[in-house]
Amino acid sequence: MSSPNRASTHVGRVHPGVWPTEIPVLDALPEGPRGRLAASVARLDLKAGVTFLREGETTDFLAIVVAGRVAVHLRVPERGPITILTLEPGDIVGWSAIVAPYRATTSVTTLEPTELAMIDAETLRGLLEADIELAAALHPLILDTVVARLAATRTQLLDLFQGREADPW
Amino acid sequence: MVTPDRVATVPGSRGGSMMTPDRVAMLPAVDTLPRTFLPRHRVDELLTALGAGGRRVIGPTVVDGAIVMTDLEGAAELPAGWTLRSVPGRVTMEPLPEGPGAARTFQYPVTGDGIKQTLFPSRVDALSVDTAPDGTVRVRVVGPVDAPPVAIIGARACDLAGLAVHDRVLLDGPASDPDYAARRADVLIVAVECALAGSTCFCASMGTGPEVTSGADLILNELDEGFIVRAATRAGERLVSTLHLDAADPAATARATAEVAEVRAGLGTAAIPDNARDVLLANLGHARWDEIAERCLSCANCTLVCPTCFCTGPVVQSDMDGRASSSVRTWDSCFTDGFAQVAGGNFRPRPRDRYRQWLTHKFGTWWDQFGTSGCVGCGRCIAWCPVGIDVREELTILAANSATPAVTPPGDRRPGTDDARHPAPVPFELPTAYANATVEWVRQETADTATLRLTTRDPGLLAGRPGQFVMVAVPAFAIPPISVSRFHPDGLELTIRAAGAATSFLTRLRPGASLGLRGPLGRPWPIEDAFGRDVVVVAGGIGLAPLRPVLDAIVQARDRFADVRLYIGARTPRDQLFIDEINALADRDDMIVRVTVDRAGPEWLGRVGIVTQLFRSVVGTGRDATAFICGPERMMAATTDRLGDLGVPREHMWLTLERHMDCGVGLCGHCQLGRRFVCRDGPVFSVAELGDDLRTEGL
Repeated sequence: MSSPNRASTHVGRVHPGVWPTEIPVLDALPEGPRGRLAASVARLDLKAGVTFLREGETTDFLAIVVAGRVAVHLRVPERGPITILTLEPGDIVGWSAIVAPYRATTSVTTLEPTELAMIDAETLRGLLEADIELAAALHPLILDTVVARLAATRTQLLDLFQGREADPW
Repeated sequence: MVTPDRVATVPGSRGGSMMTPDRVAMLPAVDTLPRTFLPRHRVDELLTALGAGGRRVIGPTVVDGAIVMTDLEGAAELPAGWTLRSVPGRVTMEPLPEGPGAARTFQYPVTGDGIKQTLFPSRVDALSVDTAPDGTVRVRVVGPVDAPPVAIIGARACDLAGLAVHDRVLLDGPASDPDYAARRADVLIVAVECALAGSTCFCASMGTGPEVTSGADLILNELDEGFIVRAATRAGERLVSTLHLDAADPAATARATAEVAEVRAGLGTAAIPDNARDVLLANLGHARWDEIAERCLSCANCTLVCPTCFCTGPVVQSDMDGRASSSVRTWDSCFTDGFAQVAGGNFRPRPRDRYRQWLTHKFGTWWDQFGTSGCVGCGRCIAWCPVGIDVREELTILAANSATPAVTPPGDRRPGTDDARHPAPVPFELPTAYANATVEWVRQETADTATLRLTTRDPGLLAGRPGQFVMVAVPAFAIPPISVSRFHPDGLELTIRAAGAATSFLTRLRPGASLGLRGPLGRPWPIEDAFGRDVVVVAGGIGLAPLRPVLDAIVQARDRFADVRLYIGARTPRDQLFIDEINALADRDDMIVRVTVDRAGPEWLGRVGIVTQLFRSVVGTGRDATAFICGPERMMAATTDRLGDLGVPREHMWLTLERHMDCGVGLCGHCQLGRRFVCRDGPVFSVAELGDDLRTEGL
């Protein structure tokens, strides 16, 4: 589909090549898979207030937050957009890039100037299919992300601080 | 029974050092006491002797088709010729069968009321609050009643066992009940040994009867021709000496003894499992609770007829302009809707929770709290239960189908109270009087929460420590417990969320307003546990208020602590408390401060997510950390799980619990959590102390 260079140019600047700082998730991978993945990773700088994933639309890339903060939000009927979770450096965003039908289940918007390490969805899927060692290393990290989203969404449904009954005092 | 050396205490006594000398104890070995004989026609003389000096004489009589305990004028009022037949769910009064014994006066098992109402009335005046002409709120705790001396005739062994339990609960704790102490101060008891048991009786299984072994001044055994009399105390001896009775005929004594022995034989001694406490505590999740709950009507009858149930609650009555009110203390029941209700919800919303609380308290945690069973085997709860739930049957089923092996070996029915999880009693004197305080300023924190800055000169209040709470009194409202959110040299701050009528009123007070405070109450945060250690403070919602004095203590002596991290969760951005202060802490370079909200719209640029997500990776070496946690209970459970995963030891994780508190000193019974009175043993506990109780739903 698209190369890292052309991916998501509608939202911010993409810098291929050398990475200036550490990338948390990549650094946790074994050396071999990390090297093979890093070759396809690009840097994406976004201003505050940019929505780079939209609920229901195709997910073009998976990213790791390197700096800044983003909000994962849903549109709830009659209530408007509800933020269910904010993500910070080290968090993965865009897990739907590798799970069919590759459509985002939430929208994601930068809350402050944000730096992402991104990899094109189709490229990543190809890598995971071809490189079993990389897949074995990366899949648990992405599954962790999905579990965290599920937990956060569930919490919003339970509404930890609500549901109080009548009071005695 | 459990307190063989105890007959009566005087008001204010602690553990017996001030007992009246001649009533300290039953004379030893009551079965060897000299026996005299009181002919039936001379019973009036006994009643007259009991009533000498203006003493009220209370005994059984027939009222509206039932035998009840009431003031007696003479022997003719005793229920001669009547008996009670009790089966699960039903008590009926019937004439005694024709023939020998048909004229007996005590030939029935226990009455419904027993002696509880006499010494622990269902309604007593407790408190009055009013506003003086100068605007000062005055709180008057109603002093000990001017109770006349009482004589009770017709008490049974189980009644006396219940009385001993009440003595233990209401007199021997860190705080004693002055009303009970006053009524209990001068009581003569004429007990009758049962010559007849009901199908609901099981005193022999609880070790309380049918023989009277303690607690009575006189012990009677009724025969057709009269009574065998034993004087068991010096007071009893003096009483008998005025009657000049003849020694009893040994043959008559033998007949009387045989009748009681026959009752014992019929009762058996194995109505409930020996290790009932451990069976109960090992089976809090048993399916049987749901089955019982399908039958239980939550009517509270069992608690009202129980001779040891002691929970009470205030009923506030106000004048029309709200300037004066008075509280009446009434019996309450753990089966009522409001019993476990607090601002944060109802801790026992389901009937199963309430029945389980009642049974596990009565036969289980009572041991831990008072060193005795709460059950005396009178069987009233079985007879007076409208659907006939039989505690003997339920305990037997639970024991036979125990989900987890219970630990105590059979035969040992007096478990120790030295369990490591039992918190230490509060080491200081509990305040029972109200001090005056004045509102200096009010700051609205959020739409529903305000901070009151109060001034007071009361040295007790000023000596309060972080984590303690006060009872806050204004006329016309219930008196809520409020955590102190800051201490000052000349006063304190209370941060109050408008959750009900009283707290709404308090948040709308104006500078200059007066109120009454009783406190400080409860166990404080053990700040010293964190000296030299890393500190993790986790607050959810209004839970930040009781933690604020911890933050103050840290800031005042920052170098006594290693790394300090503060994690705050609020429901929405608009629900954040103390925003300026928290920002100031965040600006310091010697602590990490993280704030998150559960829910936010697009305008919020800060963190969103539950508070536990804040310390996914931030805590570092948890082993060296002490944590202070306050928030909704589910949030605290999740937080302790997460901190535990990060290595923070359970004995270094401290949290404060919210429970319904009316008295604050462990007497009203509302705040029980397992073996604990949260108000007195807490509200601050370590996770190690709480164990599984923190996560047991409905406890």
